[in-house]
Amino acid sequence: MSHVESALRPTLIEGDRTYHDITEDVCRPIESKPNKWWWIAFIVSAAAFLWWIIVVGYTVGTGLGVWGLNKTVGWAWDITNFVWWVGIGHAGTLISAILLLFRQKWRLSINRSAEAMTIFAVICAASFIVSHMGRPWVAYWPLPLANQFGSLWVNFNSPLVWDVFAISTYFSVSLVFWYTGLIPDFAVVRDRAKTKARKFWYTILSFGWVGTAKNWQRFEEVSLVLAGISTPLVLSVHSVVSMDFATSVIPGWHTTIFPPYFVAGAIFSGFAMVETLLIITRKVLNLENSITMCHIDMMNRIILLTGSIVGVAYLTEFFIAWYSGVEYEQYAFINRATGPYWWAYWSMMTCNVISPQLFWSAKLRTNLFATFFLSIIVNIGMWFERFVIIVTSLHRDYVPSSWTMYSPTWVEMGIFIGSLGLFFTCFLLFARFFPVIAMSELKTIIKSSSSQAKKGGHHGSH
Amino acid sequence: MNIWDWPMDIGGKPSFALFKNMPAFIPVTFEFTVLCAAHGMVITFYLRSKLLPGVEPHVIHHRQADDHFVLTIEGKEENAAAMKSALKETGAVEIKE
Repeated sequence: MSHVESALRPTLIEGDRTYHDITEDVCRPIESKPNKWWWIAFIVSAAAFLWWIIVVGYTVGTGLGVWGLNKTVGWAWDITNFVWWVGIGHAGTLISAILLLFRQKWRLSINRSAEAMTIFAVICAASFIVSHMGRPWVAYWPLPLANQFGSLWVNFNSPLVWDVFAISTYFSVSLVFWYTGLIPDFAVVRDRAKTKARKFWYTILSFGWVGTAKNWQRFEEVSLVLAGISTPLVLSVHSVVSMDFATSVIPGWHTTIFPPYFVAGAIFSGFAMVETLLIITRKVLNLENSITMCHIDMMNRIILLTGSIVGVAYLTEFFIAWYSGVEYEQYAFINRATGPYWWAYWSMMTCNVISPQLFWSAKLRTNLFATFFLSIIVNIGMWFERFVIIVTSLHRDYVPSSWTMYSPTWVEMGIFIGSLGLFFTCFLLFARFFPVIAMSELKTIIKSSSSQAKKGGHHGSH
Repeated sequence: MNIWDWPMDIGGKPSFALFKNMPAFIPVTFEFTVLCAAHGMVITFYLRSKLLPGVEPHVIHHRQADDHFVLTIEGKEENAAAMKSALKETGAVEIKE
């Protein structure tokens, strides 16, 4: 029997759900036909993804000249989008790893979809790396493979090579973490399956899991150790991404605050995207009993915290630019705030620093419309943050004669829209075929944190 | 190999001698350790628990993964009646032989 939990702790499962009710709630979308809205969303996303194939094909076929880059601004939307997607991809493993170590049980309703989001976001990020190479057929060059180029080897001093290791490790470890958690839930779907095809596919997916006590014990151990390994991994990945900038000598990039500042920003944007997706998912799939207002509130608190950290980081950066006494550094920051890209800078400041402060109000934290709106604002703000860091630092370099402006072409915009299409196509397929809540794990808190357990039941109250 | 053939100073990380640019290897060392540890453990878990695609599951009860707990007991034929009544007394929902 599980322990008795304080009545002060929030209820995490509403509506007096039993074990079987949870199974029904989570399996319903898999076992029934998708509705009209799913099809509309799917067709729009898939069309955007097809557009991605066309514009990336055009870029590769014609060359990077079809982008708005020039010799001064060599990185712009491509790397902005890469960092944006990787940042979004930070919430999933944070929820399932760090919150597991901190024993935050509210992670159980949201970890599955957040991890799925992580994986799809990292796929989108990787797609930008490959497309910005211009020659994707040599994409294996950053790997330390035996080669025919004589004594040439990858340069381990380069943070771009660290990035290859960090992102691929993050992707594959998140993938197995996610999949291992999915196995018991696939087994539930398999054992309930009424059609032959469903039985066949979920038998393969569930790897023969039957949930013996020994298997569950090992499962718990593996989850715990994976969480322990993934925690430093989550923090390292965006630190390494930030070093792509921080180890350079470009004013505005060459900053030691970058790793923690990027990690906070990543968690900030990741949680915002989780909210955008879950507010819709819980409504469409009728999962309001498991993904409650309490979960939304908790995520909003994390957004408030990380948003404040990001705000402090912006101000620190500005202060240090002045305090360093380096005129290039000072100019880079004055130029950010008052130069030709002032609008991007102030959009970033408004969206990332001011708007999350609204979440001090408990009323707004538990208001779905406000949360949904702010989650989108936060992601817009985080996109502008990366754009500001990359483009404003580059467009006015050390030599004023090479100063220039950057604006994207339709091809770059198309690739960005296409990557959103890829992301939502994957997420919609996930919501259709995979259990969107870790139901087997969620059932472990039904005796301690559900609404009927809170009412007293046989536990008694104190 | 690169250090020997192409000595370079990149971003203040001189590669003229291994000990001088050792810190540059820390991120990759860390990531690679995590990669091997995580995958090694998960593969071990799958093999040890005989979890692989294509494994036929031994499903004893169709609701064992849903909301029921299954207890399998092996015993001699002559003890079956006693075992049954003992299980009934302790509140078994369903007994199958």
